[in-house]
Amino acid sequence: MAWDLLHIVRHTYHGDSNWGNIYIKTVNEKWEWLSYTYELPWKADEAGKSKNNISRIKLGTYELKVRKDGKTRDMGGKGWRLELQNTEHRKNIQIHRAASSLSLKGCILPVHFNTLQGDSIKRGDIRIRDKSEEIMDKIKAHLEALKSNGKVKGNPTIALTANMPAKLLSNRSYANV
Amino acid sequence: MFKSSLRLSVCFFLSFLSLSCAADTAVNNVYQDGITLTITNKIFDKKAHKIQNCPKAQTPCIIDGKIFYGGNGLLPKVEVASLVFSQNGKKVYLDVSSIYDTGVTNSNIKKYISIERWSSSYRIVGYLGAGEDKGDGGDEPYIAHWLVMPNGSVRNHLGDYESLVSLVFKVNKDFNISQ
Repeated sequence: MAWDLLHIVRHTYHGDSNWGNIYIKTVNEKWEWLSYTYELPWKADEAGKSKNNISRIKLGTYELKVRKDGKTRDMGGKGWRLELQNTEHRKNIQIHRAASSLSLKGCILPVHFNTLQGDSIKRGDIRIRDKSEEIMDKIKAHLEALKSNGKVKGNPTIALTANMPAKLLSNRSYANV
Repeated sequence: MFKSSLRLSVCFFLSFLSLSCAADTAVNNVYQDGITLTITNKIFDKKAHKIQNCPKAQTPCIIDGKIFYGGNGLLPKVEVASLVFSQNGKKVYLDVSSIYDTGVTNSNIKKYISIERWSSSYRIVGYLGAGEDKGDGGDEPYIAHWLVMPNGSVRNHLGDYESLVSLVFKVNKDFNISQ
């Protein structure tokens, strides 16, 4: 049986916005704001399906599986990450640490900022990657804590929505805000 | 059909090792201005190298005292023995240290390695190891950049796209260059 772990509220669905907010379930079964997210904007083909490599994936709830294959972070790899399951024609869609270049082809990057305007942060800034790794470490710690308390079974899920659902407002911890 | 597919697969594997396989892997390594770029691959023999793991991990990070590219977190399968730039009878051996599992052969070299005239020298850019890590951005190759003159060369970049962008960011910031 799948269980809630992450919830992303995108700023827009059909639009040019790259940004969203990600919430995580705590061991107290409350929702906690974790960070901002960066994704590609929505681009659809004539059939209304998201375009490979240049678009975010569609809204929905997806099961997650841990991936840690490939190069370690020391070697420039993504390290520990979560791969969304059953994403139809899109393959290997993951939530993983951001590259400082913010390059992506459809995955979801947890980041510590929500604008590239102004002078605060620019592509290439090594802080983008460092902070994103910290956020991924938090997700990993939450996941392991939830699994170890024995209350959850099966795969965790991530929900992608364009609106804030009531559960995120009514059952909320403000620890990270 | 099955036999044909099998033969193609075998030929692809052999071509990866720079072994001959009839006309399916015809050499195609001649560029403009009479330049030839010749790559020689060989099977990576772990006994012939000193290998060290990454800190706190069981994955290899260092080969013969150098960080390496290719292998996708595992030991590489193929190393580059040489990459030779030839023009008008002169040969320049390019620095191929730290480069592994490129996927480049003398048949497909023009797909992955380009040569452009750059003032009085040549600029060689290689996109190596494409597709080694499945996933978002994972199909991105690592990038090698050499400058070559008739009597010598330097490799002045080896790294992934991320490190290149990060370097440009740092230089812009340090020299107050606005984009």
